[in-house]
Amino acid sequence: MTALNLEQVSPEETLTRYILHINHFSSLYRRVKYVVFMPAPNGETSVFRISHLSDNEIWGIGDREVAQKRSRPLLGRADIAAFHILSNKLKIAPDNNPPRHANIIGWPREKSEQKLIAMELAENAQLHLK
Amino acid sequence: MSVAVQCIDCPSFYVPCNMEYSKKEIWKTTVTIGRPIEEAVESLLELYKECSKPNWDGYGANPVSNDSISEALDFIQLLPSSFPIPQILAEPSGEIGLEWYKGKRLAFAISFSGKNMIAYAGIFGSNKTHGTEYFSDSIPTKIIENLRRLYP
Repeated sequence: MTALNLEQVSPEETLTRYILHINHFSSLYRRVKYVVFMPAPNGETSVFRISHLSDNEIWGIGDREVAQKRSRPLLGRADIAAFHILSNKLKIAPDNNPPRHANIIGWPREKSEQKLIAMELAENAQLHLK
Repeated sequence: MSVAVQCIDCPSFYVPCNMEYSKKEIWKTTVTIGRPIEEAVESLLELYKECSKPNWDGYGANPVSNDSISEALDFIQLLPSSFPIPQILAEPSGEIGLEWYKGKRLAFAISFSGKNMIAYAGIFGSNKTHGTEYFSDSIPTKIIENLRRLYP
């Protein structure tokens, strides 16, 4: 397994946002909805770094670190290249707690601007259903 | 599950008042509507039930507020029939979002905070827009203009 740079996320890395709510994706269009990427009230969007992991390993992280800890079923995930996040003037702060975890930070204060960026991220994300 | 029932004496849609809504008293109680709006009302009520508690998304989301639900319904009632009924979403901030998705890079979304302001954003191919508009008794022109970019 390739070692992660714990200080910085490179633009080539793939990140994923695990989906716990049925309202956050469209099965019909096989797409992620923008709300998946909107920041939480603390101003951060929680993601995991999944480059060089197998599909089973990626789902395992979601089950173990996200779904089970919240006692919710894991419904899917939205994979996105870090490049798309960085090119929208956001930052990715890896904290490795739990391992491979990072937060998307640096969201603009204005709600409409947050929404536009989240829509851009959703356009560039790939939906994977469990 | 449906929680809305047909009014006995009129062809309108009655929303039962067994849920705690404060402002505007459950969208003035009765609404004359067609089937798509009926479904939108049901979606809003479902969303309220699912998302009215803190952390409903597992990521620390704020609860959806009564006032944002009320504004979203007011908006849907005012929406001209030439536009489709949008997808109804809850946002982590507790706002209600409405999304019109027509295809790749053709989308428009708005949200209601319950404070008479609509935050909007749209992607129209390589063009993008975002902003905020005051919302009270009519749909702001800017919102209609952007919807027409999707549905001419």
